[in-house]
Amino acid sequence: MNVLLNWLDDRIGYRGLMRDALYERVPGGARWRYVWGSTLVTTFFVQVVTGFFLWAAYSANARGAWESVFYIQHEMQGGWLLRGIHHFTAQAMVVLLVLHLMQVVIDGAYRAPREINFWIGLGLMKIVLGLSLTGYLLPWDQKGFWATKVATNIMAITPVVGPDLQKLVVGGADYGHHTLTRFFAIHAGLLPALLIGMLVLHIYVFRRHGLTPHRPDPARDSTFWPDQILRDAVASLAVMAAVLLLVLLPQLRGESPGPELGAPADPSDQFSAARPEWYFLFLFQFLKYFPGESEIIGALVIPGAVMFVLFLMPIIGRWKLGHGFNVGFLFAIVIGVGALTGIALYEDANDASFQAAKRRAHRDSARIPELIESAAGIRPEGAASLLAQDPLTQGPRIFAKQCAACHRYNGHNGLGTAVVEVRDGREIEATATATDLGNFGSREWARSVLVDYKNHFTALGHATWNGEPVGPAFLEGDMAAWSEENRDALLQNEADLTALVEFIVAQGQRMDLPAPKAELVARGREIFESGELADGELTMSCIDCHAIHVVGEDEPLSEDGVAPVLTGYGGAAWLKLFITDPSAAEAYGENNAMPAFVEKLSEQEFSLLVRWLTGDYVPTELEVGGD
Amino acid sequence: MTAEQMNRSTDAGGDPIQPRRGFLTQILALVLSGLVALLPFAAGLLVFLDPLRAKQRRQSGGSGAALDGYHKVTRLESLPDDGTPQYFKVIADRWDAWNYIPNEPIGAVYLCKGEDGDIVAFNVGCPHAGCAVEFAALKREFMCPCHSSSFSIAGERSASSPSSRNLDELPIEIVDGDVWVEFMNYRTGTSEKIPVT
Repeated sequence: MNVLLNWLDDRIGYRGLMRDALYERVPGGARWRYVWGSTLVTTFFVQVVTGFFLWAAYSANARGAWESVFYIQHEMQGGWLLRGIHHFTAQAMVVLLVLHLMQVVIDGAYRAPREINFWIGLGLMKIVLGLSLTGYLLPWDQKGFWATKVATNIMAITPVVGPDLQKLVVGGADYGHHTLTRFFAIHAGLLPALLIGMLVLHIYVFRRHGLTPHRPDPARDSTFWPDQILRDAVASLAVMAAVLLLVLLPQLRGESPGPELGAPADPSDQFSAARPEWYFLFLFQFLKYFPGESEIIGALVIPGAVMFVLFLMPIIGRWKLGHGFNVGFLFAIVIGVGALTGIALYEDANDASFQAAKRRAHRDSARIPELIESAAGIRPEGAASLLAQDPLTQGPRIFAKQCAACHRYNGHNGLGTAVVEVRDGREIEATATATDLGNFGSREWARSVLVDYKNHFTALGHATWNGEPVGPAFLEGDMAAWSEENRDALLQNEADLTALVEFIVAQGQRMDLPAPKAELVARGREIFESGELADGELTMSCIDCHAIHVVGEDEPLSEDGVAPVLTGYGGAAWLKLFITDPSAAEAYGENNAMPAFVEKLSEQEFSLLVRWLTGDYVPTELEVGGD
Repeated sequence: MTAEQMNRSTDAGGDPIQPRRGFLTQILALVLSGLVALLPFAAGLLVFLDPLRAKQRRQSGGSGAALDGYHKVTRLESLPDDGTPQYFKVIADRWDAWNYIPNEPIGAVYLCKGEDGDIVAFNVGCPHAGCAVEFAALKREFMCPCHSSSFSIAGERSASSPSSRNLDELPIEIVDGDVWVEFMNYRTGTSEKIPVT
């Protein structure tokens, strides 16, 4: 064995190399404060290894990037763990980078002859931040897509070369296949190669000058191996333990394992939850203070000036008070960054519409696996179309835009946000002028229409149409009167009321409601037709006013009516008829005050809205109805 | 041990307890660094070895539910009576990692109608190394363009062929004049016919 090792050593001199690498003198003995650089090397190593394996499963194209990450996360064994380690180690690196920089500045380790190594270190910091920025886009989810879009748009304000620079990075005018191929090449090729090169230089120069000892004590001098390495290993292990904890946290909470993968990028979606990764939040917040054309000051000039001062630190440090200034400056920056981050988080936490957007984003992200499962896989056009065709997530968006000006959905706009209007320069909750559709077509709905009509439609009392109040036609109309006259009779014949409700609900053939009971429906039909209750009778039977073709029957039960037709009441076809043209004779006729939506909504939007309101979508584990 | 010798040489004049403590430190440092280095590899290899996992194969659907696992390829009339092999693509719904792709070519077959009217189907892949064989009309034999294996019109290998077995015959069914093939690929380079799963 020794012969072989000697032979090898004669040729490549590995013993000298090992000696140099391992037995570097640590003046004053091993210390915990020296571990930061080593933890950065460790985390970078972890990123290279996990990055390679992710690379082996990742597809850099606009119809496959999100899909391949989804596959890694949900289908491949250990995929969520691998992705989680890469995701959180990236964040750990940024934290360690700041700690390393602070330790170097506080210890004055930038002083001659270590200036150049300090500058190399600053370069390494830029590269790591570049890796974070490029990596954030690669999953091609809503969050990464929109946040990176902001970043590349800011890039475009660079004087002279900005727009061209942006085009080069984005790979064209718009985000697409080439944005991903380029970001990926930069993220997995260029930046790591640069980083390795500069890291080698950094360590070489560091070794040349040795540690900057903190209060050296020659009696305790020691060597890198094993004393300092042990401390480095413990620190690295602690970092990785923290990373693992963060990776496992969702699972410990009983959620889907691994870091969240947002919904697939959709350039047409109004994604209001766009935020950069948390360590760039301070820049995001900073930009809010630079209105209009002055953006360049906040985005480029000031950050550039800060970087320049950092760069000058070795030179500033030569003056008597220089070191004090440097330490003070760094602390000011760290505090400033911390404060801006805090303000950004605080503002977001108190911004109801941002919180709603965030909830919506989480909801979309939790919904998409259900859609993929139900579609038995992702079609070649990508997963974004699955979400775009999902009534459960799209219906509320259409509702909020088209219906929520008058209607409510369980008190909100369909998306979980209160409807507001501006009055006297203040935002106040707007008064609904049409019925809350949260439980549209359900048994509770039908029951309330029958015995409590006036309250059920009370919102109409706030509505006006061409300057005339809408309320009287409904709230003082025949049905309101009927409901008042018959309420007591119906409530006294509870079984009959239940049967009548059951019959009405059966007309909608809704799959989302509990199936109607046949004998109740039959009894309900009798009451609907005759108006005769077990004890007493209704002032008028339903068919006296309403036309209806009972579901499953050959002949219509009642053909003429002065009131809205009840054929298929509460079902998709009925609802579509009423939204398309509410003033049709079969609908509200001349009483109507609701605009016709026949030209306002596309065929697909109609279908999404109606299917959502009638509960016709891929079954979900999510909470339905909103908060 | 060399490391210890070196240790002593650099630690000249250290106290006598130093080497023992140093040894424990060394073991600990080695084990802990090893643990840190292992973690990313462990997670990465799990994912990398995913293809070897015995997965519940999602069945690729045929172009009709009539025959499970079979794919409709052509009509009987399209096969000439003189037995000249005809080339057909096999179209099926296919899983490709995250994608479910309806109606994609998954391979191709030669169909030959024998003198007795029986129909034989061959996978176009050469059993030697998987290149698609061609039918040479003049010689009336199948030729592999890669390593010159040749096969008779009945799929039998010629003695000089690098291929160690005959062309792979595939099961067929005729339903209402439609020709259905159970398409399968076999391992190449073996004298036995072993399906690739």
